Amino acid sequence: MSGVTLNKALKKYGDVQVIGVDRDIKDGEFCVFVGPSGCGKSTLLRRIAGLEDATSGQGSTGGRDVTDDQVEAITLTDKIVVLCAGHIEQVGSPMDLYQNPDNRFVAGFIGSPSMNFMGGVVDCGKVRIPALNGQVIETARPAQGSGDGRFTSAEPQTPRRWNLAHRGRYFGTAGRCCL
Amino acid sequence: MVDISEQLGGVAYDYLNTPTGERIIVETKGDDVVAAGTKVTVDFAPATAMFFDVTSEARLR
Repeated sequence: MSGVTLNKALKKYGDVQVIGVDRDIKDGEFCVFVGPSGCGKSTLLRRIAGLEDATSGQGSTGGRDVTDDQVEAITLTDKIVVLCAGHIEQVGSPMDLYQNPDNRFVAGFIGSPSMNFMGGVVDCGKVRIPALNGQVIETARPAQGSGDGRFTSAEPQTPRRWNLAHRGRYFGTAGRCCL
Repeated sequence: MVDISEQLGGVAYDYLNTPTGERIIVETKGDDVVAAGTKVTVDFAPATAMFFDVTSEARLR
């Protein structure tokens, strides 16, 4: 038995909660924690390694290797846990996170160069993108809301680091780029 | 318009400024360098766009 179980593992320094995580990692599963600086990755790993006591909750582990090389890890891993501010934003395979991000944070964090985000305006049930000269995007159902800022659109056809997708994006001819 | 071209060896990241001031990053492969200040046209595949709620940031599509 060498899985890792984190049962509502909570870590506080004073009144500041730095992690609050509930997660099972199966025996043999290669799981990677990613997130921006300060999100709690190291604290969580220290907790798993037994170097930190949890403020509350329980953790048990049989011990597996970890790495801080994100490129290597994400290429090899079965499962990625995306952390932000001590909380799990999404858990999934690299392709899950790349193709089906649950929220804007995950969409912007996974992949390089980062996904492009542009403001959208709901207009007669469609979404207009001012940054793209007002190009209109149709939706399967009429877009809800009105006025500015109901939607933010993200353009996912960005080539990602780690070769998670092969959708190329390049200048076909000078002065013209294909998203 | 191309703002900065970041040469990374095998690829380059070109940072484009849109008329609204929002920035788009595109990856360029090959040896062609598009000079800063060059006006470029952006092709866009609407069906692949994702939507996120501005407030909750949850994905809508």
